[in-house]
Amino acid sequence: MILLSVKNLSVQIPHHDKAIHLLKDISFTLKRGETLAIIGESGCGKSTLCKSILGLLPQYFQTTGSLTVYQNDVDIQLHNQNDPHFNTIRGSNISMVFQDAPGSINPLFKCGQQIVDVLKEHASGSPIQNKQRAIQLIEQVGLTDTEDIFNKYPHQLSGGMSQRIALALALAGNPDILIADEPTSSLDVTAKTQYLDLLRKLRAKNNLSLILITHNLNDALSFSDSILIMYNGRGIEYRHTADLQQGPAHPYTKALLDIQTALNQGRLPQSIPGETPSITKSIPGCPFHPRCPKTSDICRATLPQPTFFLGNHFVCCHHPLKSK
Amino acid sequence: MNSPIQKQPVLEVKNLNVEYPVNFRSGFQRETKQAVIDVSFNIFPGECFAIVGESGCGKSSIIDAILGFVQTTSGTILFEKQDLMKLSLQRFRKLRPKIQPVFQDYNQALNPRQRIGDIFKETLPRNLRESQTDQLLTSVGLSNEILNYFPHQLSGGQKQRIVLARALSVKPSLLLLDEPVTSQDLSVAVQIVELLISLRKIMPMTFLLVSHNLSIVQLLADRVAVMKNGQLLEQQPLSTLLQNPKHDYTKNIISQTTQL
Repeated sequence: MILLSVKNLSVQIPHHDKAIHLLKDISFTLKRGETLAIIGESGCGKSTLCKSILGLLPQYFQTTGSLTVYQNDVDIQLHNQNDPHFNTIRGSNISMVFQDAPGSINPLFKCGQQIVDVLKEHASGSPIQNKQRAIQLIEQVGLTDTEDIFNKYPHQLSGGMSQRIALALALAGNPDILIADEPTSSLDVTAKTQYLDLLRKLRAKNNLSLILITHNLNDALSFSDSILIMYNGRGIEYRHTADLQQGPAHPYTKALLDIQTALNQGRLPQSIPGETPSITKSIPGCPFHPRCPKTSDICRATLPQPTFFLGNHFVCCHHPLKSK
Repeated sequence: MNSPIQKQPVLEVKNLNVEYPVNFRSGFQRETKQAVIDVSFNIFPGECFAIVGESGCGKSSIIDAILGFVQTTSGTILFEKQDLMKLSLQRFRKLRPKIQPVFQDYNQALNPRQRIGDIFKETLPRNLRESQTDQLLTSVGLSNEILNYFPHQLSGGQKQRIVLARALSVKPSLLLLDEPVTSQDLSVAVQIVELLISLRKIMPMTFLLVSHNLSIVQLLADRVAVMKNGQLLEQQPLSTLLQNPKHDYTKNIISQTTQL
């Protein structure tokens, strides 16, 4: 059952007399219980994409394309970032754990109170019920000593603990879809493994659909059902994780996989030549062509259109690699 | 990897203890937390010594202690045979450029109001500035177009290279790398690691690398120390540590790093 469908979503901002395209023609779907990993380098538009799904972009960001949320057999079409429907789906259908999770918690209120505030917005329980539910949520995200943490301020918690409180806040509205924006990038190996295990448990228990934004390929490969690779504001490859692991079709995906494999084996990987292009610069043709080993004249001149695999999975490359 | 050339260590840390005050509410009784407990290690010239451990284990406190950013409780830090804690402020300031840090947060390491060119005006002598700036930028893989830019106009990788070039501009004998690639993308992280490896080949450089990422550490380090709760659990040459870890915690870190 499809819960979210994004079709040709583009986001641009006016800049002097031009427009800067932050996202260009992004398309994907998310089914119930599915985990989609979005991978890309910093500044490629991963976080902008997720904020646009929640209607959190500033008003001057112009969005085009369609965003459909399926809720109890009703399709909610979201046309722009000011759509009033966002208020009904935010928190209860889709919620998000932000990149700087400790920074996304209000430092002036106790953790428990903040969870209760979310519950007041989304559930119709009495204050006592809300408190009990908040304590339950704190327990659900793997924290012990729940009563004590309920009464603590965010600065009294460690990084890993505040990450979990941010998760409890996101889960308080009982959402169908959870967006986790780089949830583990600031955590060390042990805390990261624990956090991902927790997400796995919650996904199974609540039948959650997850959108995991990351630049850690290991996490994405081990955790997701499908992967969207982004580069310079575009989706360049969208595949089932298993297919991608067996044979990536885009040279950029292959380069990333090679780097990760080499690192896992303790070898020095071959780096991708050149710099990540700035989103403000428009690159003619394929955005990856200045760094691609397979560049030809057509890559420099024409933007590659998606070549579809089974379903809506695709690759955007003039010279795709042979994939299984 | 370079192997230790001389026997005399560049840096000797002996029984270092660092503690921080916590919980000021308890009136006159001052509660403290031990961040570094009885840590000892040596770093030899040309060597890359790495400290691996989880967040909050005290890795960065060691770096802060070496740089004089925090007061140590006890222990000695000998840099080129001089005890850093017993030096007068004047002598410490004179010695300090020989120890250069490269921090994780490259955004905070650069002044947002200062053009990149002005950074090097502070560290390089006027008569040699132009040629040495070019040389430095080339060594970190940047062109001199960048000199007119402000930090916000650069990508993360470029900023980290500038931080590295700034550290190298005073010709340090010890470079302290505190999680130098943790906040970088995979492809940029690999480029920075490649750069550090090539720098070690062209200039005599001693590194103290601090990281929680063993997969990056194993590309650079000659010897590795594993740290937990302020204490060094074990320190061994990299290959020995990977093949024959003594401590369960080390085994755990290695297994978590290598699993795909």
